[in-house]
Amino acid sequence: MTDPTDDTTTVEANDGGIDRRTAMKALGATLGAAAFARAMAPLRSWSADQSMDEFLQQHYKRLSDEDMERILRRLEQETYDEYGAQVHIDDPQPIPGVQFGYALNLSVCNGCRKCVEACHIENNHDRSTNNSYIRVFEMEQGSMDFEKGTADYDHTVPAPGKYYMPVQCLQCDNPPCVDVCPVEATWKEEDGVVVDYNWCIGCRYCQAACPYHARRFNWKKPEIPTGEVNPVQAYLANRIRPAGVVEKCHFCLHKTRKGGAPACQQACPTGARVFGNMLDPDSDIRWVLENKRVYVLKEDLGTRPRFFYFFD
Amino acid sequence: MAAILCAALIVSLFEAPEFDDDPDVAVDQPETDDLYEDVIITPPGLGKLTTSIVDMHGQFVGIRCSTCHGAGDIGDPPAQYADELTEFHREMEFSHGDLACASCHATDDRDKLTLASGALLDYDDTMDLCAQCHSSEYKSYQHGAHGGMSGHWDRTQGERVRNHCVVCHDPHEPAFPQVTPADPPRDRFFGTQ
Ligand code: HEC
Ligand code: HEC
Ligand code: HEC
Ligand code: HEC
Repeated sequence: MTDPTDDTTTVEANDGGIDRRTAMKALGATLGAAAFARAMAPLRSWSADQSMDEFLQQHYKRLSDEDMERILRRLEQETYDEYGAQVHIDDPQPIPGVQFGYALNLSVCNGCRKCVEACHIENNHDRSTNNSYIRVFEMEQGSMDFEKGTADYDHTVPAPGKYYMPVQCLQCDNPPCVDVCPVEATWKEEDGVVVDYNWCIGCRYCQAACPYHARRFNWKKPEIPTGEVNPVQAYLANRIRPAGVVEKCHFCLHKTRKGGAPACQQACPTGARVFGNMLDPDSDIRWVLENKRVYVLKEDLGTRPRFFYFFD
Repeated sequence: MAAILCAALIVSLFEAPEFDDDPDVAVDQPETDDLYEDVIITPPGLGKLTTSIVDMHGQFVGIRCSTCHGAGDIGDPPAQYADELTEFHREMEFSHGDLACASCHATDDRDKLTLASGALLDYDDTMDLCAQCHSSEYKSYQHGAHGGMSGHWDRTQGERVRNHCVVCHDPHEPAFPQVTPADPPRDRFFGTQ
């Protein structure tokens, strides 16, 4: 297979518009050789262990239903080959008229990290790093700046004088991560911000752009024992991600786009989390927005998060 | 919590977004009848004295209070507070403000609870007892802002599963217990992973 970074390659990855090859070349020009090599590393190894089919894959938004069907079955087969697990991957679409909103009651959260754990399992994260899309910050009472919190506390909670602030992707209405992506591998849908892990080139601009440290880089192929793979998967959600791509919380869209609760809410023993449709005037989330004093993180940045914090 | 509230001034007060309830954009709200009912998880045998005897379903057998109490008090003199119990119910921890037993348990019908008005309440309606003194938490609870849920946010597709207050708060010692947290992710601190 040809080296995708080679100018002479005749492979056309797509039919104009968002052109990954052009973006990769532009990246080379702006980053300098060493940085470019590092940014492209996942891409170079990619020709070795991935199929032509995958290389030729179109941008998500231009895939026909049949294309998507074929890709999903291929990914299921790959998961079976590599993890021994029989999974079902689908591609649920946003529900018309639904905009997800999430609120968290900081008076009630006790920092137990059950949400962190649930996310780890639900989203097929790498076992060796115990990765999760949620970090819980232990905060001094009196401070709202989570940059000053500690995320690796390991004593009984809640500790006196502290409170706890879980932080995950805030699904901004005006997401800086989306703006910086050179290949449109991440974009905003009606109900939240998503990533196409097959399109991501791993340049990590989005990770640097996110003021909330919500994005993670997948350094290595996730290790998950066969019996622990969560078989209910979706393309833009919790399917096992290849190494070298950026990933983040997607509000469990593989569940929430079917009316279910996100795994972190499902697991919360304190009942601190409120999730729902912000466009439904009778929803719990709307009641919270209209009846509690709600805060968003770093509001001055104008990112307009759809994740809110409140106190009783 | 007051300390936190003051501190919250560091971030400015967020204005709840304006919602456009234009019927063209808003979802068709289904008829209330079409919505799944909430399921409220309630501990079995509420208001029965738990024994160490296990029944065929593996549940501890509960006995009605009136089995021993008949209609009313049996202590001599009847205990008002936990520290006055000398012979029975001694394993009970009590730390709920400085409430007397009779603030909640009807004195002349031990199978019932009582409201401040004197009205008797079945144990099935325990939530109304809590609501009497904790109206703001109860109101939040009714709107999902206290007590949480699991199951479905979209009640046209499935039910919302909720815990009864007493699942999380023992009526005699309601403070939520301290716990050992789950392990944090082993990533390099802050966004480098
Ligand atoms: C196995 C017999 C038994 C059962 C069943 C029982 N109690 Fe008692 N209870 C006692 C005894 C004996 C005392 C007196 C203890 C003392 O004064 O030290 C007592 C005392 C009390 C008191 C303090 C007032 C008084 O009479 O001294 C309350 C309140 C009370 N019980 C409530 C209950 C409730 C509510 C239930 C049902 C959930 C219940 N009890 C079930 C035996 C029982
Ligand atoms: C805040 C209201 C409240 C107060 C005050 C209160 N109780 Fe209760 N008690 C309840 C409720 C509600 C239940 C039912 C919960 C259950 O069965 O788990 C209960 C259950 C009990 C039971 C049965 C519990 C079991 O699991 O075996 C006993 C015995 C009892 N109360 C005794 C007392 C005594 C004695 C006092 C005074 C020291 C007291 N209670 C004070 C609300 C109260
Ligand atoms: C008769 C009034 C009354 C009733 C009924 C009552 N409470 Fe309370 N509750 C109190 C008081 C008083 C306090 C103590 C407040 C304080 O310490 O500032 C309290 C405190 C609490 C706390 C905070 C405990 C802590 O230490 O943080 C919880 C939780 C609670 N109640 C839950 C309940 C639940 C659940 C019920 C129903 C089973 C209930 N209460 C019924 C009066 C009541
Ligand atoms: C899913 C668990 C859960 C359920 C269900 C729940 N609570 Fe709580 N509640 C908490 C937690 C966690 C806290 C914060 C820790 C604490 O104060 O003990 C809390 C705090 C409280 C407090 C103390 C508030 C304060 O400012 O100190 C009261 C009162 C209370 N709850 C009442 C209720 C009542 C009444 C219900 C039922 C209508 C209820 N809770 C249902 C978990 C729950």
